[in-house]
Amino acid sequence: MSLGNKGTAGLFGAGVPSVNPDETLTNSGVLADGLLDNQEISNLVEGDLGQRFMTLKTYIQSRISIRDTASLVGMQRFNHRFSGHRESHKFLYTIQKVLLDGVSFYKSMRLQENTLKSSEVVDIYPTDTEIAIISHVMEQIRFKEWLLLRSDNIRWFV
Amino acid sequence: MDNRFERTSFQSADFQAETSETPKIKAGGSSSSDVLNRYFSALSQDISLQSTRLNILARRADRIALGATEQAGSLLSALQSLSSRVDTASGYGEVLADMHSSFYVDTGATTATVNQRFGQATLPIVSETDLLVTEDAYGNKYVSPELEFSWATSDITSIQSLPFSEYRYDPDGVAMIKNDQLWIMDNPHSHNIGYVRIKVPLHYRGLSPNVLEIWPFPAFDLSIRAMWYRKIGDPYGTWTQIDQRYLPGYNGSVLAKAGPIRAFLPANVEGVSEIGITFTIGSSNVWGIKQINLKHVEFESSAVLVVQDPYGRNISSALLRGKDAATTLSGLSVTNSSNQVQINLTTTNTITSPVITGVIMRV
Repeated sequence: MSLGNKGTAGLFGAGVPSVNPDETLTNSGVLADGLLDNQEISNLVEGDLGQRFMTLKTYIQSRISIRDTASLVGMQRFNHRFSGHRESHKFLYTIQKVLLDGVSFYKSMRLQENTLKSSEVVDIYPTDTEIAIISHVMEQIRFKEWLLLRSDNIRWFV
Repeated sequence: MDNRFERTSFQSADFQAETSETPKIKAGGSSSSDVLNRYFSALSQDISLQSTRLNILARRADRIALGATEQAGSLLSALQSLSSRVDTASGYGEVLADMHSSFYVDTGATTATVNQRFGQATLPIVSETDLLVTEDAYGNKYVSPELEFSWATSDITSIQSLPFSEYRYDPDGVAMIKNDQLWIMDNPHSHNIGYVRIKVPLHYRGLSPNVLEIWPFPAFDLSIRAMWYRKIGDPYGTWTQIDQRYLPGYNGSVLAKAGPIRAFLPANVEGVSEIGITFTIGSSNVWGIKQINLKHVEFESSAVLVVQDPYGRNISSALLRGKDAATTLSGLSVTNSSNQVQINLTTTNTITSPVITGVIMRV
């Protein structure tokens, strides 16, 4: 069996087009022609694993996770000596990985810090409603005390 | 004791210090692959450790935020029941319509602005310009590099007598002015007077400052002794006190256990070079400020404030309480009609407004 050339001769045997069954049918069983028709659009369900066309958001997320995974894979233990790179490439590779992970780690730290910073003032301090009610009660009680004292009526304090 | 955060050295740090005297890769030593593999492995462990710490911190922050929100909610419902108790009809012949609540205000007929946070009724605000902080279209906040925040604690009671060498600059105070974070200091216990000075930007685009807002922290614990300003051109050490007699909590000398307050500067203050605030530090373990705003505010020329006795009793006379009661408020037109009092607020100067904090009604 010849290995063939991917995309032309096919992986499933000579003369058979290289077709991945998972890519030819949509989840509704309609043959896909590479373009979305109305039926296929109406079949799109966000987050549906069988869906062929991913949203831009999902696409970006997947690219990010692929990049992150690749970066982790680069840090796995394997023998660099036989990976076909020159010595200097290994060090360059190391520096890039450390830089990338450092940047993403710093970004996530910074995000946490910003969230804490922007919310601590709001979360801890009493809201306007609470401030208004406390002040209202204080003012009313202070006024009634003043009234009672002014009329020499000190029963309230006894 | 939580000691998960005490470790400060990391495995990968060993790999950072490579010099010509101590090379990591040398003849007869470990292969470069081996060195790199060990470095990667150390780095992976360090990053995992840091991620774990970050997750722990984030979960702690979430727990605290959730706890604070829930606790505040239950306190609020207790406060609301208290509030309804003080609003019940009393047999006394006088009623105070304070401006912290809409209970005594006819909100339909009133065109004046009633700010319940500060407990003040003023003319409607036409425009408001923050003179310390600038905000762009994306919500980013900027302060002028000329803005300086300094603080001191002392037993000296007058701001004129405290030498400037006693003050310490604090960039965290500038972050507080930007409303990014709280500014908190430990209670020194040895002194009980806290000083804060803010050197304000040199120019205000020609706008005069007329409103100073302060949110002390902790609210309702810290007392504001006095607020001061230095006019541009005043000799060093010359401070003018801002009138605080009409602000909530004023007990004859200080604003005792103050919440957020809004003070008005006189109309003839055209430029301010410094703001000074003195606090009496309370029993709390900290003292600080949540927010300070210095603003240029412009008001409409006239509006109506209508207060009423919600129990329908006829009002025979009304007494206005607020800023400059003897000079400004006494000149306002006040009309009684059955259970309502109508007060006509007017001004001839767009940067001043009558400030009413309460109306005492005789029923």
